[in-house]
Amino acid sequence: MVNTYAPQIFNLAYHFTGTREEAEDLTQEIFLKLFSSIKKYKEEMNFTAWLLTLARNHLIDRYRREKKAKSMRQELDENLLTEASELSPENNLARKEVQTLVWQALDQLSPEVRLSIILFDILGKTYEEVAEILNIPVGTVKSRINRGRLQLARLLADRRPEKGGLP
Amino acid sequence: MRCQQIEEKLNDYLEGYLNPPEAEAIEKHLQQCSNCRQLFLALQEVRLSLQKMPQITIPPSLVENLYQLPATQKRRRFSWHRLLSHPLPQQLTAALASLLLAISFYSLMPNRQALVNYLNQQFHLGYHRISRLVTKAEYLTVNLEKVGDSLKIPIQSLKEEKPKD
Repeated sequence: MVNTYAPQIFNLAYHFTGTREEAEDLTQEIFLKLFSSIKKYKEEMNFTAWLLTLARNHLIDRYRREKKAKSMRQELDENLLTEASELSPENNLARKEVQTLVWQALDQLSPEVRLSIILFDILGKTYEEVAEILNIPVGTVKSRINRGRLQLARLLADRRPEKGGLP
Repeated sequence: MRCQQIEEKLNDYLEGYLNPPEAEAIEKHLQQCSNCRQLFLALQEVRLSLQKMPQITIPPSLVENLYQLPATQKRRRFSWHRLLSHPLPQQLTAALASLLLAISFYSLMPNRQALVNYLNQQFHLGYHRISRLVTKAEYLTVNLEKVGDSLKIPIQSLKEEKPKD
């Protein structure tokens, strides 16, 4: 169970909070919750969705409790960013810069919108899966993702000195 | 279409969810409106950046901690704190504490013999009262058996009896 699900939970927590330390704490707390509430899980349920719902509730609770003392999002480790072979070194550098800006801008989104974006765009879940995890209609998921991406696009356009296209 | 309507559909256009006439209308607008074009280009970059966002490898120390969590929970389950915080042990603890308090009070009391005498007296007084009550109860039982039949008044006679003025 740990090997299969811990990386997903850790990545969800990492992209949500923006710090490795918080992500580690949150992953442990979420697994503690999982072990104590595993009796509530029923066989007919989708386990991944059930676990991610548990994680989502914990992340939102924690966010609401600690939003005043919220720590800053760490710098995204650029060494982890992959280089596209079809792009020149300059364009790869520009793309990494954009990725770092987008990563920083995730903090500007509301927690619910941020979670939708992380689940759909970063973790690659479908609209239906996100809807099940967040316990909201598919239409609401689409609208949150639309809203979140547009907000990030505006922030990106504002922060970038030159308003060019894709590198 | 207005810019706001275009903005609402930009994601669907990007994902290829729009039908051909709608997609054509968007393309036409993007050619004419530089603001929406800039927004669309930024949106493309955002989508690509998010989808290429790195998946972080989970630290081995964290995995090890997660494997140890069930054992930690079992230890917690049998801890004294958890046991004593349960309602029933709490009541037992309170009763035990009261008993210990009474014993220590008795053993440390300077005039112990007086207390023993007082308790003896009270005990005998109580015993005497109870035995008197038992005797009275026995007497009443016997007498009720004797007069029992005479108390059975026919219901009919009660109905016929008229209240006196």
